[in-house]
Amino acid sequence: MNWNKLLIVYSKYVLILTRFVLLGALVFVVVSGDRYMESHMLPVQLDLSGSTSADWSDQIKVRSGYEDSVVNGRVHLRNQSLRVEMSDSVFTGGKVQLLIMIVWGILLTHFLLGIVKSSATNSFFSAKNLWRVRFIGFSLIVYSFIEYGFEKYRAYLIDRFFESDFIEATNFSVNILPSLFDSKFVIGVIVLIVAQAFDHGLKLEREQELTV
Amino acid sequence: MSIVINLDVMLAKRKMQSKELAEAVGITLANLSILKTGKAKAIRFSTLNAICEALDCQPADLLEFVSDETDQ
Repeated sequence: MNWNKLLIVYSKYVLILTRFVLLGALVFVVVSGDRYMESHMLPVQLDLSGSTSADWSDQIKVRSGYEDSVVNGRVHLRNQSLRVEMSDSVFTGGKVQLLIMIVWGILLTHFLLGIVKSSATNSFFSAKNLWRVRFIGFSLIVYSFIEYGFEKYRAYLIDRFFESDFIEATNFSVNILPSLFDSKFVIGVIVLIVAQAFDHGLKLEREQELTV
Repeated sequence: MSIVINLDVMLAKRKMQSKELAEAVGITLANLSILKTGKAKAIRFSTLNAICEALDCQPADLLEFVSDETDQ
């Protein structure tokens, strides 16, 4: 059995399915509006260990004057997470970030699919594939910056609406220092390095074609 | 600087067609054309050997070094 061909076929169908699901998600997000989306939810990372209260207001204190901006909260003691629902007047960026993520996911699967399909032919080292790999690398880096931007913005919102030094009643810490160098950035750089290998492979193939 | 392949000259001397030579050497007409037009980046010894055998000549009869000054 040719495991290589099997892997290529498997990858192709997984990517086709992923692209289909993402397209469906995009349509759902655009059409549904805010009905099913938690676009006004703000995730707040808290250390809820030792806490048994499921009432969100016991976990975090809203700054005075901003009570109208906070609608409700939801505590998940098992997941150690707190999600706070903000009012319509507060832009949390949740839906925008989700849309960007879905569109980027669609582009990523589309280009990966192109690369996988070409691996079954003799045109793997081609200018088109080199462009695809470079695009994937750059888009990963750009997306990590976009994610960083949104995280910074959410950290700003948390600091603006909640008292982050409220530590007397509960033991908690708020993560307001998101890391820029998360895995997407590093993977993007690695992919760009791989693109250089692709470039070299392309040059070798061209030379090979012109060797009689 | 460049290496020029004088294939046309030898083909004319031996009164041979390109297609004939390509078949004798075992390469495609397209590849032979790459050689004739100077677009080739490299030539294998096996190919050079086969061409010399088919045209009954020496490599020196086919290959010529032309420097930039001569080009100009």
